[in-house]
Amino acid sequence: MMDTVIQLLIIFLIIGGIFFTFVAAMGVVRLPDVYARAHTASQTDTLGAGFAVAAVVLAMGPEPRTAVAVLLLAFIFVTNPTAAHAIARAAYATGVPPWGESTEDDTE
Amino acid sequence: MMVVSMVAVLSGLPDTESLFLLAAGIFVLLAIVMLYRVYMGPTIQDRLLAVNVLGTNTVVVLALLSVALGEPWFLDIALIYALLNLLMALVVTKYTVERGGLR
Amino acid sequence: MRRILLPVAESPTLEDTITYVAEAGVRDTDAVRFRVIFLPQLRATPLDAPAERGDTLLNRVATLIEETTQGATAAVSVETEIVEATIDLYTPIDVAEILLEQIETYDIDQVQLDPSYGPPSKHGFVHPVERILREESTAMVEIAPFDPTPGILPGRLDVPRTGFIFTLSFLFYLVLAGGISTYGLVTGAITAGIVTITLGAITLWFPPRIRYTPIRFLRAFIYIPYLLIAITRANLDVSRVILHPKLPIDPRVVRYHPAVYGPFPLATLGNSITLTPGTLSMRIERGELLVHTLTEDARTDLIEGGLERAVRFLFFGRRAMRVASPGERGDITVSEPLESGGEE
Repeated sequence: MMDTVIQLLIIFLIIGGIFFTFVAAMGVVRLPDVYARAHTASQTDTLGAGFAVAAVVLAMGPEPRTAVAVLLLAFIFVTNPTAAHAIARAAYATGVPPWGESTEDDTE
Repeated sequence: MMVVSMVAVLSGLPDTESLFLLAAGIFVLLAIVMLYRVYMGPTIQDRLLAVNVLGTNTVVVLALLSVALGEPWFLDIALIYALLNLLMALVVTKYTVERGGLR
Repeated sequence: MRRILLPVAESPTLEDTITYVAEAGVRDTDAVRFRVIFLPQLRATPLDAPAERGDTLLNRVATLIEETTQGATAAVSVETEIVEATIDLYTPIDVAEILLEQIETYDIDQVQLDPSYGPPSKHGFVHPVERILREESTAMVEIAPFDPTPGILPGRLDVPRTGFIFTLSFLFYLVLAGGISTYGLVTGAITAGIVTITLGAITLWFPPRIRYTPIRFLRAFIYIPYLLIAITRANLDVSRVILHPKLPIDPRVVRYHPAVYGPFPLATLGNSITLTPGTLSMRIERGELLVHTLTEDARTDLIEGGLERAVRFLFFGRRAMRVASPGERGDITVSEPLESGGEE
């Protein structure tokens, strides 16, 4: 019984992970400028990765190694937005204009 | 290998290993999609961002594979990769801002 | 009558400076008036709202001056004021300008500067200030002779810092080692020791305080689920926008003065803002955030200030949550949309 619940939860998390990573990939390809793309990198992708790693944590069950997976989960949530912020800041500092022509021809 | 796991998933109860293998396969496909932005740019930050997202993707693939192949030490590599990924982004952005180089 | 101007801010050499200035101030004179001022815009306050901290800081300085000058033959008076500048104080030139105004208005003969006076972590800020004051006024300007920086490192390796970093790296090592064994404990202790000695002093700006750190850790158990729910909810919104065939985005840059102070709380807020979909911090400077927002909804969330309240809760406790939202405070300005076809 418990196993089935965990199994279902894992499937749910993996589907969630794939969905959000798919959105992140679409965002990286479709969005019009660096700043907008950084949104998907720092957020949807982080959540996607978070879901997938959470599935890994569940699948491993209670054993010492799981701690590494939990740590990985925490790291992803701290490092991804930091990297995205650094990139956006660098883009801003080097004078990449924000929002460019995103009002009219949105998809490129 | 992906076909095998896909069949396993579709034919009723998926066992955890093939489920994770399939998921890893899909993440790899998504990573290939992201390569488009690495190639297209146009600015260095665009490429960097895409590489960064790709790196996160790699971390996830490593974590998924560690379950799928029953190799828990993959997680150590994933952890180091995640840290290197951040370091790469920070170092390159610092370089582009303070040295003004790289296009 | 000697009139001494003493601009103060939270700094490692503040107490030494005050004692020095007070002792020198009463020497060879029959009356001295200390004018102690605090400029809230320097945001030199790590923990609380600037005005409140300014009050306590000024009180502390006034008390210290009075204690030091007790028993002196000269008549001593101390006046304190929080000076709200009308201009933004970013550079030494701005600060010098305010001080020059003070010299003019209050007929000051002496300006005494704390060697580490200035915004937090801006070493050497005081030197250009001193030079300008010397050139532009007739008052005597002096920087108290104390070493402002203990070495080139921002922090000192004291007991709380050492303990904190050692424990953290030791635990991290044990997790990676995958369990507790004699070998792991010994090599872990050695590794953690090396890490502490080499990196300990540059890791933390302020030593962790027993009073705050554990309770913040407990509050994180409320903060993190809150953040996760906010992230998931907003992620679904952004996913809808990205997958929408027409890509209905409306990106704007928002200038935002959060009611959160200190480097670590600000970093947490910036990180949380970036983690929440639709908002991305582009720059954090002098307590101001430049946030890129992707959609109207994301902007509304930011203006309502839920995250800001959560971060205040995490660092300052439940009472700190009662604060006006950024929208009500007028601390948010949204840029106009750029017309397409504008300059590249």
